[in-house]
Amino acid sequence: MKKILTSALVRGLLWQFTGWIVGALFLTGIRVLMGLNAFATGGYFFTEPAWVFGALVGALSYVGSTGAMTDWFRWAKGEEVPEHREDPPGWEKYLNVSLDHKVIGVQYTATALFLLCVGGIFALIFRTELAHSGLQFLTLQEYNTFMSLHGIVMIVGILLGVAGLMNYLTPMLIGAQDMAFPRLNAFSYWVAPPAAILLLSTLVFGGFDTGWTGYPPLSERAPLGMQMFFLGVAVAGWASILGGLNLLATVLRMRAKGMTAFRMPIFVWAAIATSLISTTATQLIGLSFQMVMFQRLFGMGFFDSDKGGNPILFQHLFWFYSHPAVYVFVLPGLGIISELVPVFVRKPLFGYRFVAMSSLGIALVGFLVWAHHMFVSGMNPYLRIPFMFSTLLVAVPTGVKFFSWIATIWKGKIEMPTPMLFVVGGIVVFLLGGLSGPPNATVATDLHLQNTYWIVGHFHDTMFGGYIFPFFASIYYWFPKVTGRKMDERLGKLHFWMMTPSFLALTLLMMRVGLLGMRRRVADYDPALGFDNYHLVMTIGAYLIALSVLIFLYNLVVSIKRGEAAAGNVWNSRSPEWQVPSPMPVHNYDRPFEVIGEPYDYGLPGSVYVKFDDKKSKSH
Amino acid sequence: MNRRLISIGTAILAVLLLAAGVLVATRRPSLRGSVINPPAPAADIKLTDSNSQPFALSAQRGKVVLLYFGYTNCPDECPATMAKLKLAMGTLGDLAQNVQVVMVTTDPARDDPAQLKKWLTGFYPTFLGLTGTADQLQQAYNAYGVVVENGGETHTTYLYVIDPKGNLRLTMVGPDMDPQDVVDDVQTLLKGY
Amino acid sequence: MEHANKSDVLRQGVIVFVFLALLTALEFFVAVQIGATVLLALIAFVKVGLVMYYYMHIYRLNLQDQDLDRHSDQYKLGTSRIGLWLFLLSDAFIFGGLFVSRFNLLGLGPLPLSPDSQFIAVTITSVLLLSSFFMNRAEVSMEHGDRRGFIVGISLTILLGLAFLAGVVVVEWPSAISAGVTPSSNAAGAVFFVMTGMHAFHVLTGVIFLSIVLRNGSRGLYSAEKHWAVESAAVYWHFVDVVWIFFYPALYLIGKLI
Repeated sequence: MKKILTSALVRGLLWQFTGWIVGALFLTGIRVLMGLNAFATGGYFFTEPAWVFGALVGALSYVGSTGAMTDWFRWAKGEEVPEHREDPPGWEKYLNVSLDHKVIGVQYTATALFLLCVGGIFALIFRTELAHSGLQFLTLQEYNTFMSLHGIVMIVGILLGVAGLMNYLTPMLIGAQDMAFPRLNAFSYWVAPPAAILLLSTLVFGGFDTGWTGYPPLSERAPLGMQMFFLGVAVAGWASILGGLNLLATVLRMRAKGMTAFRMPIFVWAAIATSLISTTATQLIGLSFQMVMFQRLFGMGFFDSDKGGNPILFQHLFWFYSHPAVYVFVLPGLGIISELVPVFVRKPLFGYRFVAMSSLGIALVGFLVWAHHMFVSGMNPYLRIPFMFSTLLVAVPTGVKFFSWIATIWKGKIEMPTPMLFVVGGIVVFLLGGLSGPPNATVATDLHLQNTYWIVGHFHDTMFGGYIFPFFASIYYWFPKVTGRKMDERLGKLHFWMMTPSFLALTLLMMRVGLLGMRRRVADYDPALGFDNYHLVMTIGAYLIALSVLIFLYNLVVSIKRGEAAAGNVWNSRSPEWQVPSPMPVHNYDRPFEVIGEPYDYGLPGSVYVKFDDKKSKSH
Repeated sequence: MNRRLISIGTAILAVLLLAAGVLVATRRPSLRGSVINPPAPAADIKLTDSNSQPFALSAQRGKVVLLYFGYTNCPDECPATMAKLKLAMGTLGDLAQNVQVVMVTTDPARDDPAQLKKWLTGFYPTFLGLTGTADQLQQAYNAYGVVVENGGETHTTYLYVIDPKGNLRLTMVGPDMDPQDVVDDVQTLLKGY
Repeated sequence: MEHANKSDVLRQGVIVFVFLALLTALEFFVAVQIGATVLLALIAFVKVGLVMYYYMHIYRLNLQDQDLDRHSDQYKLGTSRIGLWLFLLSDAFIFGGLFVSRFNLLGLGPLPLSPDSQFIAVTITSVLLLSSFFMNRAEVSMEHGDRRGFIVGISLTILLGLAFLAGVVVVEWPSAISAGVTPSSNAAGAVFFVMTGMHAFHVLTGVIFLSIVLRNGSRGLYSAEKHWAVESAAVYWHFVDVVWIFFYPALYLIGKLI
């Protein structure tokens, strides 16, 4: 217990809270000296600038107090800093600053699971409200806040989950000891918890009713919670930016001998594509949110048409990140699918080079499609046409991936343990999400589909198929690597068979009511539309998904201590991390390996991917 | 190494300088109003001005003439245009003495020279009003394609810009124009372009 | 390049500086006499090219060190360079977003600043350019183990950096406010203050970074062989200059045809 209370995680929380109050007091003091209003009339005691400044100080205090920056301060003072820092044995390293990419990967994943559950609970709350027409137990503002928070908490959860997978897997897959910049890696993780706290604090500050998109002018007038949302996203953005930067440098510089570009695992290609987006485009969502913050704090009229501003500009800046962001969410997941399919069908991956390039292709085309979210926004109508074509173009590299998976599965010796179940589920669900995409990309149909539940159904299909299913698959798959034990197969299958049908029912019905005219983001609907029964079924589906996730969490916790021991190559994989015993040693491989073959030549007799050099043992 | 840097740098600089030079030599200042191309000699107007003196447009060579058609009881467009011209004259400073603002009345029944003078000098001391017989006025309207209906209350609201050589160069929409555009274009025309 | 003798490299810095100054003068001339936006953009790109190649040594990213031992300092130096440039790339997207916002909101028109602004802007631009020149001297001195030259160069850079900051915050901002351009006056004011403010924030962080490097450098922590801190501070400082090379015409020169 004492170890928990003195851990960086808990210490940071105390510091964040203290820093928040101290910062707010400090700015209030300055306001008093400047002769401005010290306290807000009605509402939240301190004024809005004081709360925002305090929130910033609080977030910085959190990161500072964890010790994630200590080495940099010591470097600035001119002190010698040791190259490595060894973690204490046992579980408490997961609650403290560690430089080991595997620990950080687990930290990311655990935080992601926590946030995904919180976001799921928000969804359940407003889904329950929707089960019947009329307002039952939520006010409109509460409904909007939960709906908005569901969006952003899930997004941050997914980003952290992606970072978790990339952090844990990439150095292992390319044969590196660690990431290129381990301290930066730790820092990137440790800005995420205070960002999550900021996002959740919106509940205390009156919520926000704009949806996660935060469009002005509505976001200019939303309650104080809006500012905490903006700040939280901006801070979380830094985790994503620095994580992506680190990963790019790692892949460019830390690959094992012989691992040329086209002998890298597909997941690494996907991670590169993802990191390219998150390193660059993320700055623009941060910028657009800062601009609205400044508009609220200093009256700067960027998006205020009274002052010659342009609200459409916000949408351009916002979607320049937020559309590529969905590729950040799904590309690693699609990479996982390509990674696991050959293992479980015992056949080479079909069209390796095309699949590798398709990830980059999606990422690059993804930079050119942002305005398809704005077909009805009032931007220049002629802009719709090029954005329609560029959006439809995304279907090409995505189609390449599908063909590759199908051709890989074709005539394979298919095994169906839990990870493969989730992979197949992911392919099916992502197919639904993909096929429901072109109607939204086509201007003529999108004018009708925009802002209906059809879009909600489409989006959830892509997110589950491209992220949630592969995420579960990779947890089931690499769990033995982390812990040396397997997760329970029967519970895993129960999880899958409970979640998949409920999810399909949920999203297919979403699309159906959308086509029939159900608007999205609304707390209530006309009973005369006849949607009550559909919504009831959707709500039941949502609860079944929640139940299946509870089964998964139970399985996860129990298996850490009591799972079946699995130290060897449980899945009979060719990948290097499975050629050494589980759990993975601290500095990964104790002897270097050389890549001498193709990564996915399953079923070809005599073919080897990596060869370990038994004579040399690494020196630190 | 440095020698190469100097030669490449000088070459780039020379190219940029050349480009700038060519642009300077061939530049035509852009005018903000709607350009009449090619410039046509402005049709002469011979009327009585608000000082009750005879007025001829052809006698205004050397000045930029800003010609407008309106009336003093006008509730919206004419005062808006005159107010903008007043602002422009203020910004022009000393150059304003080379500019003549002229308003031809569309409502001769109510606008006698005294009324025109009172109303126009209220905006700026050198603004001139013109009036005359119905025939003379109609001739002037026709020369500039001005439509006058409803006893003068409905009329074309263009501002006609005539350069110092007596050529009609530009039109602007009087009530909607930006005073700064008037200033820029007057400066340009006074430079002889 | 690494093996060239010191005076040659220093002279190269002078030549680059002279070209940059000439190009800035040309830029000003083009802005007030021709107003050709395309030419302004072209000049800006030439200036940025000079700074990125000769002051920021972008060619050093072309690493030919795949055979080196992964744990050697030199290999790690290459990795650090890639990390720094990726960071600059990322940061450039913030400035790019601001740049685009300026043109989206104000078109190609000028900002309604006070008449003094033109003079202030030329002055602070020259100050920043000069600081980049001294930064280069400081870095070159350190590369050749001349600690005295390093300290003189970096101290001048810090002083000029502070002068730039003062020029923006203490002189230019009040001058703009007196001309009626305040953060809350209109979109032009918002754009002006957020662009200069975001840039000034980067200058400030650069000054702090340089001060740390100066302190550690004067205590003898860096050597001709090992001075990544100096190099990264220099590259960061030049990057801030590169941003200003685009911001200066965007804020002051475009639409200023006399």
